[in-house]
Amino acid sequence: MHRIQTPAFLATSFALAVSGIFAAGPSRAEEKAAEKPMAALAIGESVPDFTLADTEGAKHRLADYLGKDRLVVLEWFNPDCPFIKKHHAAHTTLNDLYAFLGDRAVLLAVNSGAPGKQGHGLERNRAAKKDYGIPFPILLDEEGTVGRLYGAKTTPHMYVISPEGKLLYQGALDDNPSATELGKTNYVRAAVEQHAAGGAIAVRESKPYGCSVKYAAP
Amino acid sequence: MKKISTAAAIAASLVLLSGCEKGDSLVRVRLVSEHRALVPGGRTELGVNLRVPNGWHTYWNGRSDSGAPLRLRFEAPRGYEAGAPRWPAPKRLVSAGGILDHVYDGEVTVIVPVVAPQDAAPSDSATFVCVVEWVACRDICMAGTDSALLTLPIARGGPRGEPSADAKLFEEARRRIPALGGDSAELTSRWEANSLVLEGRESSGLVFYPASDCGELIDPIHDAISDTGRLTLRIRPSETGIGHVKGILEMRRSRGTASRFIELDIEPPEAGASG
Repeated sequence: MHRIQTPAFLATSFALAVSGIFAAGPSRAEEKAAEKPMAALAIGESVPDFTLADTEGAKHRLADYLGKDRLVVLEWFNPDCPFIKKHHAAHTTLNDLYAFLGDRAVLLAVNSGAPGKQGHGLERNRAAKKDYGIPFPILLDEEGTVGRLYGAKTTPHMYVISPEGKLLYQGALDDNPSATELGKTNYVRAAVEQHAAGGAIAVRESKPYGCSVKYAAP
Repeated sequence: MKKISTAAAIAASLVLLSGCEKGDSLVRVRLVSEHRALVPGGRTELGVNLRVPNGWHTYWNGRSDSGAPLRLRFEAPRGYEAGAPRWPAPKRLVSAGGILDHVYDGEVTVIVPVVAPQDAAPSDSATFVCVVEWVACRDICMAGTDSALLTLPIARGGPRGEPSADAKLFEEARRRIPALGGDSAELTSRWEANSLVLEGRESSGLVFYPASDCGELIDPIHDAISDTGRLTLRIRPSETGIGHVKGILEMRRSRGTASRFIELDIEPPEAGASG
């Protein structure tokens, strides 16, 4: 956020949010065409298996990564979303996380954007992988099947999965839902560290923030 | 109190920082006043006015599945008291994937009451500044920061002067700004286990817009809007129990009659408060 050089006499400040004026909104009946809410995964329960191809055509099956004394971390991804740019371009949060994880976890990005939506497509994601220097695979889920199975709502939306295929953490990457500023706590990193130490994960679930996942219309 | 020449210098510096001054920002930000002048010791209302192109929306400061609330920093001259901002109700937006957001589209205004100091001199002026950090989306999302300023003269006293050219923005905003506490004659509430039942007398529909710190609704897409005068909000208990039900309730009326907006803050059933 840009800062204004505040003159001495412009001293009073506060933060507020802004709201608006509208004509009457849609009725319940008019909203019925909208998709039903997705069933959210519960912490501690088994996550669904999936197989998706990455930007290089290689197929990745979740089950193949499980049972090997390491975690799996999923990041829902859209290369053109401002919140993804915050963590992949303005900062290197995900690449730093990848380095931190090392052999302790596999990190996979998943793009559930539908054809024609922002950040969709093999070429765009292949280019983003190069531009952002992403060292881990970006899986393409154009039909949004996997995204809906997991209840992914935002980019990013993070999931940490145990070697047994149980959900350990889901939610935000960090504790600052800003498009520009980083948080003080990286929830994913904390969950991985706490799990490795054998203790309880302090924050097992948080509200994810970011752009909406650009699913195909139902 | 500084003279207007100081404000002019500030304005010049802000032009260098402000996207809205350059006119190339997606979200146009203006700081507006309901009246043409301030009065020593008197209260007037300023407004942070935003305009987005057709098809785009920004985000309410309440709960949404995606996006980010507008963040705004408001600065007033020393000695001026800026009150709590008053926000009109947002609009529901349900997207593919079961994503529910509460958004603003078109032209939006938040009202900020301001009281001038008693010793404000009629020969002076006062400059106010706002900085807005926004995320705007349609089928794509963008983010940015813009600022605006407003300089108002100090009148000698008595009336606050004629309404400004922007006075109608305030009238429009107030139509969707909630009244605090509601009216028990029009609205009743009761808990049935972990569900809050709201009933609006003579309402043709109810819509609930949850605040960011509202207890978690199990299914806000379906529960928080009704085409009748009855709304049942199922609340998911957290580790600490059921949270307050906080937010804005829209009570829709028959066609041709404006909705009424009420600010809700209903304690959980354990506290024994309902209705």
